[in-house]
Amino acid sequence: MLGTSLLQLSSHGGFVLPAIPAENPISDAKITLGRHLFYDKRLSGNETQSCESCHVQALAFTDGKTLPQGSTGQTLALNSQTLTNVAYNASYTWWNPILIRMEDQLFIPLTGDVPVELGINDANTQTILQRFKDDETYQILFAEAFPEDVAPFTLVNVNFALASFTRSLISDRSAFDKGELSESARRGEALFFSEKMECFHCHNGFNFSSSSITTNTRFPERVFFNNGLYNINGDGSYPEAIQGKFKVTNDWNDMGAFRPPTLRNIELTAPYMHDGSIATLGEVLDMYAAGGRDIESGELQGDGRQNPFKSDFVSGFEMTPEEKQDLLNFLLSLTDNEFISDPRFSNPFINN
Amino acid sequence: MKLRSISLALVAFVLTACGGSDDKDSLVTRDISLDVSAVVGTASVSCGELTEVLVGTGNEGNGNAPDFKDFRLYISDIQVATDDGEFMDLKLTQNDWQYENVVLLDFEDAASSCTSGTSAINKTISGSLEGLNSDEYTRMRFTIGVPENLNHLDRTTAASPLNLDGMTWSWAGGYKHMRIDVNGWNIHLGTTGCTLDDNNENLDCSNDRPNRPVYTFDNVDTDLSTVVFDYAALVQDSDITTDAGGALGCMSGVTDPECAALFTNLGLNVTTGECASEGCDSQTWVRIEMGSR
Repeated sequence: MLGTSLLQLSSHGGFVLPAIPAENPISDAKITLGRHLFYDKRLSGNETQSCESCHVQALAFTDGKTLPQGSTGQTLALNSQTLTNVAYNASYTWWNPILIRMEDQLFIPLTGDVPVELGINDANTQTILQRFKDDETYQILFAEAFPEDVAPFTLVNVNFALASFTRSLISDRSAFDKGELSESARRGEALFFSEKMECFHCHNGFNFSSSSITTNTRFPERVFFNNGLYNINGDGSYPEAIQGKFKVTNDWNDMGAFRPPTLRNIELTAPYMHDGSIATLGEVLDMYAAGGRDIESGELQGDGRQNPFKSDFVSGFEMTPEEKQDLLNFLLSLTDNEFISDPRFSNPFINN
Repeated sequence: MKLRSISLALVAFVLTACGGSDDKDSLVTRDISLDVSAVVGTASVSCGELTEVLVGTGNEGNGNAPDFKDFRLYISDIQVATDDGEFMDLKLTQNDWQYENVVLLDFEDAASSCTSGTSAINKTISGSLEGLNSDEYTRMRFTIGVPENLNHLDRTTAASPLNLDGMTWSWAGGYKHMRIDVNGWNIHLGTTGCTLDDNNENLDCSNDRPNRPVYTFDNVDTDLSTVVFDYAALVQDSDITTDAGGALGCMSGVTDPECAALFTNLGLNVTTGECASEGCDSQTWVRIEMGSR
């Protein structure tokens, strides 16, 4: 399959293969190199962080924090996203509609300067690459991953290897995939896909994100929704730090519009929302039942339920305590314990 | 920026060929070398804190000392003209700083606070143009920014100087046309507003905010004039120690409160990204200075 044995689909999930860009064909050697780089703090400018610092396998490659900090201590404006099934993302990051290639996205944590994440920059790139060049393990890994390159130690190749490893992070072995749902979870599933609760409009398809594509996709949909979290000044504004798709389009209809993330492994990826502003899944369900969030005081004061740019699908619904529990049990059935313990995805520098 | 025109040996050749009768109409290729400089009022820009100059409206109007972390900008479509002639393209020499019709000006040397920069600097533009031997170029214009046709290259394969991580602008799918960062206050000028085309696969920048100001200068003396980028003038209406919202400083955000005053001084309309209604030449921060060589 695609020349790789490390990118695997289970018989349970029935997924179609993700699209692999022609300029970065996937291979086991690239995935292996990428896995090492992913867990290696030498990849950051000051050697204090690796990709894992914000993407921990046990948490489905999130970090459990409201907002993470970069290697130089700057706090990011966005919650660390799960890497679950990112190979299928129709677009990358929480909000950007034009960032549609993982290789383009990866430069943000690698070399982004506002804020600094790993902190690779024009001044230290060669120093960082030299760390790997001087390492016998990496000499083999780079040579095997990029056998046709005379000088394989480049930031582009680091990027390509990381993309290859990250594409292999496929989660399709949950209880839901295996058809092992409790009665309660089954009722929750029915509610999830009901017109009463409307969850599926934004979290549809095999990946529970309507913003997903596969190798068979010919007409990609890249959707973004405002779910009524904020309504500052009553004009629909979101906090200035992050205003969603609006940042690119400057179209007020895109104010507060964010990409719906996959719900797979959602149990493990708290806190929730693009800014980590909701602590628990139960509170998330309450927020959707209310049709948004009313913030009654403080500088973020505003009734998100009345946000003029809110999705029509976030209109609120009645939910009994039993229904809420059923919905939660359904969401919990999307947890993939094999994914978070799969040695293919684990830290290669730790002997298990 | 000093404009030096150097007539080539071609002139002598033409003179000889024509018997030296008339050099007025001789077509010659001239090498042009332009020196560029960046200043803060009367001081030259250098990495780190410039304690001798205070800029902006902060500190109760007295201004603050800028602590430079970066100062790089792309210039493109450089043209010169005689008093009454048409503008002609300066054909840039192709080298590490210059690719097609764009050049990177780099005033940071990775010293002091410029910890993310490159040690190499570039304060020169070199190129050639073809014109009459008698032409005296008294006007000049150029664009700040990477031209549209080069702005969305694949950064993994782009040639120098379009392959610098610090000048790419990942979220906007292009480059930072200009990057002037002081500690606590950053200026990133770049094209925003590109979307995906109807196929949902490729960037469509037809409705973008280009944010590429074009500046025109008269009374240029090709031997003596210097064009100066003056940070003090650029931020004269800004407080470089405060941020009222959005990005720290101005990163070309339409709704960023720090962008309004800055864009006015750039000669740009912050909403459209085109020249302001008074024209891009309403800008206040790039000027011609007469000097001697």
